[in-house]
Amino acid sequence: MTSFLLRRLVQAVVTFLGATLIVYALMFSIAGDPLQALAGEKPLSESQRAQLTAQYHLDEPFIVQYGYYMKGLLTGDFGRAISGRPIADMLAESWPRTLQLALIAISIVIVFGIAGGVYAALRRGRVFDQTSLALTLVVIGTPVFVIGSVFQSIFAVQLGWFRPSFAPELGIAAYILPAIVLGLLSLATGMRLTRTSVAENLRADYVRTAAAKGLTQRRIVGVHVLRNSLIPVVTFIGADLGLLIGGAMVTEGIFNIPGIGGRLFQGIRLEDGPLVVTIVSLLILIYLATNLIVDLLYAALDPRIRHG
Amino acid sequence: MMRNSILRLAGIALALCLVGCADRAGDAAVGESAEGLVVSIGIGEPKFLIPSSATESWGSEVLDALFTDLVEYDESFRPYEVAAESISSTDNKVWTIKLRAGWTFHNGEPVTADSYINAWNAGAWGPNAHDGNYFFEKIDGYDALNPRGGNLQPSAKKLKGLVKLDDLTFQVTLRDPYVNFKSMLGYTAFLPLPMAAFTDVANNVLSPEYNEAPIGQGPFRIVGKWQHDQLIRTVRYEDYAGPKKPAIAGIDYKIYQSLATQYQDLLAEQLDVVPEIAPENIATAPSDLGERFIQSPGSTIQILAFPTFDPRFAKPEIRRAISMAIDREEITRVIFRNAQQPLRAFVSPLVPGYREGICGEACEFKPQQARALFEAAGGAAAVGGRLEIAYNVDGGHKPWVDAACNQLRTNLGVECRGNPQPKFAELLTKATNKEPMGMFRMGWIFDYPAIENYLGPLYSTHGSSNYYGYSNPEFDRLLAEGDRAATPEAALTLYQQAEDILVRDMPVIPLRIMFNSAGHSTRVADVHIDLFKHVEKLDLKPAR
Repeated sequence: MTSFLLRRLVQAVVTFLGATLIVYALMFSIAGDPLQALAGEKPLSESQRAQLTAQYHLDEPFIVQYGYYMKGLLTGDFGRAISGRPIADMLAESWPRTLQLALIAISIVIVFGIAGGVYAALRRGRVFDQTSLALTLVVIGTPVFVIGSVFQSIFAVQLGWFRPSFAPELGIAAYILPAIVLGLLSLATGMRLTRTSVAENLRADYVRTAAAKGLTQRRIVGVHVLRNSLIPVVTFIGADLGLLIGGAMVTEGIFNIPGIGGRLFQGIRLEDGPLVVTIVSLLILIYLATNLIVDLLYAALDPRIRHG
Repeated sequence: MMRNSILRLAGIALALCLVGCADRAGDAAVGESAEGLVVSIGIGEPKFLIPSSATESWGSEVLDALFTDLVEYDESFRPYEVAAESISSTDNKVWTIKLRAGWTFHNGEPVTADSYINAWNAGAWGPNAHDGNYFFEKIDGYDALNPRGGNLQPSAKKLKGLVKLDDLTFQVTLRDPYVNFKSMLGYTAFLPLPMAAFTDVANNVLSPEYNEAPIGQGPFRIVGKWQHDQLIRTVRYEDYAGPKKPAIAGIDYKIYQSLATQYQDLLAEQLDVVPEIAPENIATAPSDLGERFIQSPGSTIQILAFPTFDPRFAKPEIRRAISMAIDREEITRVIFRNAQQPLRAFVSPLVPGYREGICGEACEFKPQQARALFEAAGGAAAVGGRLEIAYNVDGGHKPWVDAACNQLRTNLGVECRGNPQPKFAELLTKATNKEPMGMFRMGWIFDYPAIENYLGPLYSTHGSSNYYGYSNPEFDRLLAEGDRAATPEAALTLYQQAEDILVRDMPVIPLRIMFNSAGHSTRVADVHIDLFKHVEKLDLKPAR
């Protein structure tokens, strides 16, 4: 177990370094003129341009700029975004929001996806199974910005159940509608996956044996079937958490949540290398961490899997 | 047992974060308040809240609440004194600015001549790299603070042209006489700063804290700090010395990532004023809002520029023919749903001296004449067989560029297509380097209401935004003479003569004026948008 963890951590460091270098190189190659991008359609005076170029090392070659960036990163200094704000401040403000949004979304996926999937599997071919199949197909086929705008218009503007935009004074409640929108696609996929997996396991020999032993239906499904059925679902959800955080950009934009997605968008728009690379690096870290957790959960769910 | 506890731990960790990760911003919402209505206004995240750096619309909107300008503008766009008592000059080169007595900053500091001199020096000092730096270039001594070439060390720290006469009076010496200097002074860059804004006045060093909580002398003062990407809260400043007092308790600037979300919040009555309605909502806004939908002309003009250095576009006849083959009405009606209007002059209607339709026949839609003119000037062969219109894809320009191209194809019988560029910056870089990309779109929003604020930067030989290489010595001469004229009226005659030259030369095609579309909730009344697209804060009052 320990050597497994150690090996994974070393891999993570290598992946992290490689990924930041690639992302930095990509940002560097697309960078046209970040200073003009920052100035918008206004002219930029010569002295102003010279000052800013020197300040952000924009005239240095790629590897030197990357060196400055990594040096800062390793000494805990994330540097400044091209708008002048310390990147560390921007991240400290926006990460908790995106994280909350993604965690609430993933909770919705776990609770409703698994419950719905199990219920549909137990009542195969009945009304719930059929309608949920139709609905999930609709959800999977609809882009998230359409779902977001429609939900915002119906549930917030017309029905008034929620606020159309993020209202921090409401606390957790402010995240509910955006989290539903964000999680809906994963919910649909997770539900189909659970249904298939449970339905398959219900036909397995050990279920018949358990029933023959006289176990209650509740215990058969709740303990035996569910645990065996969850492995693909856990893989899916684990991979999805990273995806949800990265994919929160659209949802955050629609509901005006000042999270990481908005900062990333701003960074890309202004060709702000350090900002984009810092955010993407953190996304990579999250991917690595969730993957590790998923692997550990496998062992918890299936005793046959051992990490040596 | 062990496995179960791992699952349980994960669950607990998740639950803890859901509670513990709660937003800190909620606490900061508690603040001071005054009697009356607090109006919420939707904005985007400002870049800076330092006057000499706030050149974009959101930052200057917020500063417009926190500060009062030296001058404001009357109905005919002429400046009149507000924070200043008098602004006068005998030769238009040396200007004397006398301030009104009794004004204080929100921290209690009195507003003096030094407040202005210090602020302007900091704004003009090159190493500060303030966005509004170029506003000070007319002042004597600017070059010493802004060295050119590789050298980054300024040879002076203070503008030679700024001299304090007494506590409330200072003198501004310009490099060259400029008749409309007073008109410039209504711009954000010319606001004063309190001593509290500086860590080192002698070296023009501003405190980084100031940008987070600016202190002004205006009708509203900031509560707490700028909550980035979320909120800027202001409350009425009880000691405000201006002639007109606010009728509301304060303004909450809510910061949005998209205009569309602002609009949804307006519909749900969660936001009081949306100063700019998103293009996608313009179609339904009149029926959604009724009388609460307001439109006013803006100072942004949209033009189609010709690379006049490119031999294909060297003939004015070709340029005029292209102009006459574009049906501006159809484009503004169908594509912009009248949120933009046809432009038939080289400046916007928001300046003194604007003459409606001065462009004449050349800006009318005359397809037959256009075709005849085009053929006579060489036809499709003369422009290389194909026209191109370059535009930036991030600005929503594709629909009208495609429409204009269709019109050119139909009316001139020449192939035409859009030439998308990722960003406006890339488009400008290509134009500067004279890379072939065909005609290109340009927009211009004025800095202050003066006709020369369009003519100078856009059309003079060394204009900062003359990316099309247009150069006419006669035009430059008239413009320079206008700047040196004795009175604004005499200057206007010269400026208008300069504009007449543009009608003959057609270096660019005037296309459209942008109208500003705003909306407000049922809680607030008397919502007016001024010529800088700012909400008129002192007009706002609770709806009855």
